[in-house]
Amino acid sequence: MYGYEICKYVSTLSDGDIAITEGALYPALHKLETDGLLSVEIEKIQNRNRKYYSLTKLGGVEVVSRIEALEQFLSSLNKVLNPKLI
Amino acid sequence: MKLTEFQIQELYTFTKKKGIEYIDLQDELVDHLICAIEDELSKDPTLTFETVFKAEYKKFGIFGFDGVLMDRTVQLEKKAYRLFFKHFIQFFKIPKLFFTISLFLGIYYLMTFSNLLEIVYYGVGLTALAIMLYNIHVLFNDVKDKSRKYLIASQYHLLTRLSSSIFYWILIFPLTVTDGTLMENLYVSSAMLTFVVLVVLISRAQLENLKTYMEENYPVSA
Repeated sequence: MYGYEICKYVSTLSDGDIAITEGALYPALHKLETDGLLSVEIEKIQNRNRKYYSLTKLGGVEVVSRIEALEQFLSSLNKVLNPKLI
Repeated sequence: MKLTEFQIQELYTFTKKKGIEYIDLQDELVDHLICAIEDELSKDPTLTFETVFKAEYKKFGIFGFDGVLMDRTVQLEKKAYRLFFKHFIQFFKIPKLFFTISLFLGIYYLMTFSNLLEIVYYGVGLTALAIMLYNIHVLFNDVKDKSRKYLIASQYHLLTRLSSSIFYWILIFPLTVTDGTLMENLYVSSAMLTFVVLVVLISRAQLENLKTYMEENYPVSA
């Protein structure tokens, strides 16, 4: 996926609730690329270069662990917001 | 609705004016703007190119492209250093470890001849420094196009830092701080020279890789 495609995809999936700002997206993509979590491929599209990002093997592993951490956090948050009455 | 060639050029000019000199970043940001503007104009054809362009640029926040540029510079430098250490570690793993050991033993052997000690030490140190400086020279002279030069700026920082380290740790430190006694410790001085040779070899390989990457993705005519 390329930068603009990612912005649009996230916005579509969240029905417009989550809007990734461009000023935050590219620094994040570049950092993930440096960390080896994303790989880059350049393709010529209508006389210009387009940068496609994809998950590396390491990136795939990291996604799973981050999702697990997020789910755990949401579960903890849920416990705090909805405490069981004793 | 597709943008005209003139409008695309206008976006490139604007991006350059905003200080984006990295050719890859220019391509990425211009491509983003083109996609966003074309999308908006398709949704509402009554809008003008200028209006949509301004609105899309605003989405980059109050710092505009500056934030993206600053971050890209830091990340490129980080990447250059990480690649360097990745290559460096390879020389301590099989099969390259054999080369490192042979290199160390070769230098050590040469330095056991007391009349050759200084010649070998300064010969290797100065040659390494000369090659590193030559690499920096080649790096900038090979690439005439300004926008391509910025892409390799990160390599320039790495090379200059490595060169100044060689200059200090190999040529100045042993004489000024240890008063020449460090050089006489053959294990330490052979290890230092082995390290220097590895630095030169890795820098050379990294430059070649970068050159190939640029030739493949950003040919001069682009």
